[in-house]
Amino acid sequence: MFGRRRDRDRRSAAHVAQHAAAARDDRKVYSKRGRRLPGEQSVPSYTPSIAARSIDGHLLRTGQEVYAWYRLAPQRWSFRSDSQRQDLIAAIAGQYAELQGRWMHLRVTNRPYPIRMWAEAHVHNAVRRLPDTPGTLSFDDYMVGEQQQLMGRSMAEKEVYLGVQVQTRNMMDRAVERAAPVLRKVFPDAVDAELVAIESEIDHLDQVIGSAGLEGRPATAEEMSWLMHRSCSLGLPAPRNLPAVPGAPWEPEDLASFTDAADFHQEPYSPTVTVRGRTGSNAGIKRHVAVLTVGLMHGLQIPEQDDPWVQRSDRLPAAVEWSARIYVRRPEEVSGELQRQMSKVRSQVRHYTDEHELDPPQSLARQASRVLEIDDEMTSGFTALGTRVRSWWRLAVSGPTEREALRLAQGLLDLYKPKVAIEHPEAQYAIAREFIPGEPLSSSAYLRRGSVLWAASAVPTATAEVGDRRGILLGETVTATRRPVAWDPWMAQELRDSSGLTAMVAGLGAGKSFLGGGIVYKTLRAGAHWTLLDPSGPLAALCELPELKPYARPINLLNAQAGILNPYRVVAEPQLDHFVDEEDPERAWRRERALAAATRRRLVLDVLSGLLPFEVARLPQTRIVLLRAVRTVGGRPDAHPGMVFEALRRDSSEHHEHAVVVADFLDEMRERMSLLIPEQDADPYNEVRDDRLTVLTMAGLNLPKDGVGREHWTDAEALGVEMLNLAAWLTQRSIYERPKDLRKGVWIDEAFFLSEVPTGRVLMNRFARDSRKWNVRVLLSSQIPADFLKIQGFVTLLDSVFVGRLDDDQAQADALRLLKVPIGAGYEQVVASLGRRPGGVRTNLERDRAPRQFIFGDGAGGVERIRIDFSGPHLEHLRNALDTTPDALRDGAEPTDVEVSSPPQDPFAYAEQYTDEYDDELAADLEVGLTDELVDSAHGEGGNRRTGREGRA
Amino acid sequence: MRVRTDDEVYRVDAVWLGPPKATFPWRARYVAWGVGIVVFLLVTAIQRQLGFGFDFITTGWGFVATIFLTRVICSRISHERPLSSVTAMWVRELTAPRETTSGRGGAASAARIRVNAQRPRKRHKKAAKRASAAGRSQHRGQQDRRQKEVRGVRTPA
Repeated sequence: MFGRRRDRDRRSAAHVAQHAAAARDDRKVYSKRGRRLPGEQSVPSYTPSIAARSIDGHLLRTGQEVYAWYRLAPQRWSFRSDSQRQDLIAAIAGQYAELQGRWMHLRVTNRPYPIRMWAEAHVHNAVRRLPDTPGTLSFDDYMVGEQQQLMGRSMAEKEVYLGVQVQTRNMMDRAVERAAPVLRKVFPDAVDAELVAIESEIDHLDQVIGSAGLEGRPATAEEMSWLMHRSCSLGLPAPRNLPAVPGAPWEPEDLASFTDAADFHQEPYSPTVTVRGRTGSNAGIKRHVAVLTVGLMHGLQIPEQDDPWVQRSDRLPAAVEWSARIYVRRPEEVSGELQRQMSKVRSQVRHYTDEHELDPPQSLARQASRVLEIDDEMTSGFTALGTRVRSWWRLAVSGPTEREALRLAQGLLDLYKPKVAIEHPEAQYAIAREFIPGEPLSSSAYLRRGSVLWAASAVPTATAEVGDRRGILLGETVTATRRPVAWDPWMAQELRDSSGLTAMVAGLGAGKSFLGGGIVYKTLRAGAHWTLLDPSGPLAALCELPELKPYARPINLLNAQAGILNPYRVVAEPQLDHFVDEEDPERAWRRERALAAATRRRLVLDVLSGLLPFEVARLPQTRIVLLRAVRTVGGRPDAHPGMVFEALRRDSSEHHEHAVVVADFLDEMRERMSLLIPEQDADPYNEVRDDRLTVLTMAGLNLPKDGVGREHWTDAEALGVEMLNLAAWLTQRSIYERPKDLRKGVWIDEAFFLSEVPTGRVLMNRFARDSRKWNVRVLLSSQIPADFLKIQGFVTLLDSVFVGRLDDDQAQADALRLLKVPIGAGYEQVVASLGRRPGGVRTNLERDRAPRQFIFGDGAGGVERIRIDFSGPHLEHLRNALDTTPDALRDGAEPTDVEVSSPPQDPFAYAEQYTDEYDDELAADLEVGLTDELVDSAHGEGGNRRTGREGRA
Repeated sequence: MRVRTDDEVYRVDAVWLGPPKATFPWRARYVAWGVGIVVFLLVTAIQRQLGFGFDFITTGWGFVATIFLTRVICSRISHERPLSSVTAMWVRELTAPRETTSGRGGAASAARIRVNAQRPRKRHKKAAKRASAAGRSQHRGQQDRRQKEVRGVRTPA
């Protein structure tokens, strides 16, 4: 098998191992007498063909040493500030420095992305999912399509293991191990004595490796099994099913299950080693493995310019296995060696100058100064970051043919050019064996010396981790590491107790609608309920998808029934049964009702003053009279703005005349405000429909252009913004109509108005507060990140962020602020380059159909650049529906009639008498900022002081 | 942060230019001198074995061969691949397992196992006598066949 089998027995090793195991079991059963069964033959002894002898927990023992193996935690690398990255490197270097005098074995292997596990988790997570409509894409077909999509990309997850030498074993230990079967009966403590004795040392190592930086934890039995399998079957595809992991320690005979899975062979001086699978899913599969090694290395600027040098190999479109042997040297050992080198340099210089009167080569002077530098690094400072290591770094790539393996090897060479030389040494078989834990170093060639800081700057654990393992598939990461990105929009609320607010910022045509539409479609399939506010209207096409059609309803608000945007009704009335889990449900409910009433008053006030001409609205007395009128009407849900006009006319204070003027202004606009004021006995709000998807569109709404200040808005534009605001409140209302635990989603497109109207912040606060309680994901999309930043405290409320391509410098910086990514560290260019086509194709007549890219911050610390990918034949109809780019040549490019809702005409019965408690009312007023308003107005400072009115200066 | 290896320090090209004030026209590393001496001794030994005399011409050719071989060997070694590693890797190349084309074992065969339809039983004296009288020749034939089976030769059914 591995060529070193000592018992060249006729029988196969597996056979022997089987016998041995069986015999051991028998012995256990009959061990009371300690005698052999009658007729039982002596079992031939078995010696594994690898150096490892036994595995106990995370301890691997070879004949000579004991290694403790750790699984290292993945570390975020992209979109972190340089200082954070430096801290990470320094922390790892510190940990290495603590392991002075020990050997380490670093192994980077990979595990295929667990597609089956994802599918299982996703289906399990898809509660109350959409019933299948006959003749359309069923959920099962959809899941099959998604899994095929994933499978087609063959993405693997990196796993990093670190073995640390605990101690070397002496003759006594080996003798005890050999005599263990007998000794266990006579003196059982002696068998475990070796491992018990090193317990405190292992605890120390656990603690060193476990601290920040490497964040390693002892490898589990399953992980040890995986590592051994992957190493003994280097380059073969991952086994589909691993043998069950034993609960007991692995004895030498058990190791045969690893070593028999594959065998290695090579021709003399061939460039690859051949690995042939023998058991399980790999039986009969052959792979050619090219083993490379890291050669000379130039100075690298990490983290400023260069990637961590081990992580760089993740860019190769194939899995790369790493095995590094690192010996952390003691300072005294190094200083002696440095002195020897120094005297060597000096004697050479003397040889050139004194003995031969020649100029010495420049390199000697450089070497002398470098020796002094290293000496200085090692002796200065209190940190041990000057500690030196000797190390050997090997890489392996594999392919089904030798040619393929060599092509990948060449790819690696090119990838590391020109700063790092990757060498292709001979003795491929011997070097390939080094990947197996416990094997000795096969050759001292290509020794790399450096500081622990240099070794730490390899950061093999750096990865691109974003999203979760159970949500909908969004696409894949496109930074150094390629991983699929799944995201469950309700995980934050259900597991992490954070808000459900998501901002989506991207310029025109950067793929906002595509991304949002995809999220809505996929989560709908998985059982969510969505309400979309899409002012321009293309998302109504989602309702036309055959599988969604029975459960979807598009509503054009501009054609809807009068009173649908009544500001008194868009704020939902709290229901007592929603507060049963509170301490004092009655009181909580009353407080909530007072808050709802105050919100209504605030909303009416805002809407009406927003509709007034800017010059009138900014007058202090306007606000005083409006506020008074709104107060008179109160906050009942059955009121309407028409009542406020009447109250204005009845105003009998010193501003009576002004009140009448304001009422006249508003009355003049009355017909345009028909959506705000319901007709007599006709209230559109008592219709209860269980739609999974409601798309509110406002096609034809006049909205102000970007960057135009409030004072320059036309009446129509002001009305448009106010209606949009009310529509947003309407979507928010939809949350409260459904059970609390149900997964709900709200997507507000063109959400810029939130910063333009004072109630925007109130709405945001409500969203942030209730999204967790009510299990809502709120998607807010806009073209300008500053719109969100203007809302105070928005960034802290935010959970996740999608940033698409933005061209403006300021917008890029703002987007990074939303992502909580350092500004001025060069990430602005990343935002600018997201999904940009290469320069040469700019004049192409073909449309840019390349997948759009976003920077995705998942709210749990992961920030990555991702490519949105809803490809695959099963989603073709979705892609066509979401294609919002105009195309005159497209067939059937006719406007589709949008369904108009026709709610029943019977009046809404508001049964309960509205009661108000003074304290609650005051508290509620304070919460929505109504009292501030009064004070401000009384002092004559006007409403224009607020940020919302300042326009986009 | 600029990170780099310490390898440069260990790459001192230790050369011997010749005795003081008598600089050789070539520059050779100490290791090349060492290799050269060993190679020269080997070349000389081989020459002696082949029966060449110890004269000026033979030694001159010996020198030429030594220089050639030393240059070949030194072109294979460097600071990255010291002589010891190159030798070790050479040994490893030689001892690496090769592909086994001839299969070991193969399909299991029961041809060597003797099979009798009847197990031997105790025979009554009368019946034994009758049997031995009736079919002595046949019995012998059966025995012969059994012996052939033992040798693994397939018998006609």
